[in-house]
Amino acid sequence: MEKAAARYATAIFELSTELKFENNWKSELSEINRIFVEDPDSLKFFSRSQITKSEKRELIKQVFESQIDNTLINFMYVLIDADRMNLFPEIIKEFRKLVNDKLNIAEGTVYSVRPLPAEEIKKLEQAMSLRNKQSVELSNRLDPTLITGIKVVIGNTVSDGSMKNRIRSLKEELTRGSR
Amino acid sequence: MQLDIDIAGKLFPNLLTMIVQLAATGVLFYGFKRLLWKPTLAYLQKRSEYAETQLRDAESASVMAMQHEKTAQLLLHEATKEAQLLVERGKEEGKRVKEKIVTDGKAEADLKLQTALREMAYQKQQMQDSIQSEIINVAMLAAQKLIEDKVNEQEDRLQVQRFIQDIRS
Repeated sequence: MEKAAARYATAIFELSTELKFENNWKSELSEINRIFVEDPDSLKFFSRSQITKSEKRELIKQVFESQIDNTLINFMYVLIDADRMNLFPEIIKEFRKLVNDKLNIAEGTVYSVRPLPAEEIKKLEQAMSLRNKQSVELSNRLDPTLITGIKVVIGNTVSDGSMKNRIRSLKEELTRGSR
Repeated sequence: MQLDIDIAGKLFPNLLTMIVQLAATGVLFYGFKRLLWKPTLAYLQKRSEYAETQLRDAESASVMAMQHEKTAQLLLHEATKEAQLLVERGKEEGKRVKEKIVTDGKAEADLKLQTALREMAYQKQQMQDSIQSEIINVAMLAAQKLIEDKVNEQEDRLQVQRFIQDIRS
């Protein structure tokens, strides 16, 4: 993690805490980051020197003005002016970490064979939150090798309810029993 | 033929000649007695003493030789006894070494046999484990294939709901 990214993340985190917008900004910035991560060329656009800073600002304004908080747009203007837009994914990663630490939120991943509906992810988050005694936020990733069922990974904890895991357990049990 | 020889004159010596002869002999004896008698006696005395000394030395040497012979015989006897003792000890030591070699060899052979038996048992167990593992692998692959064929979206959703239920409970 670049020190500069950490500094920007801390600045936007402190501002969000002051305004009590941590959760909103986290979801909005995460959504923007998702676009940049899924389409890396869109982030490269901001690194091109042939495009002026005012043109870059204008693009941000046109795309996000009606969708996100103005302060976040200004934050992105700051990054454009300082030629730091390339650090955006790192800044958001660090910002999410800071917000999660403050709000006692644990982020994790739920692996499934098919994309999980939002309501199922919600139910799973609630169940995991109750069990872990902290808020849990899950993102869904596909893993066809699971055969069926799901696997939840939060930090170093793995809860595996997949058929793959059951077959592996059965195999281990049979191997142990045969000796 | 007749020989004219005075045989009687020849058989009897001339008196004068005889007297001269005797006088010459007496002079010789006198000269001998006067000049050579003492040195001859002294010489003979010396020879006699020398012979006696030699004799005494020979006797002394003979006594010493006898003593040496006795000592040598004693030493020979002791050496013989010691040699016999050494031979006995050597025999005993050889016997002991032989027994040790036999015992050690037997122990080593036993150890090798035990090791070989253990190795065989281990190999056998490994082979059995390997075969069982193969059987389990094949069975699990078959089971996985069957489940994959059977699973559909509805079944998958049911599994997810069960997992959530398990977490809640």
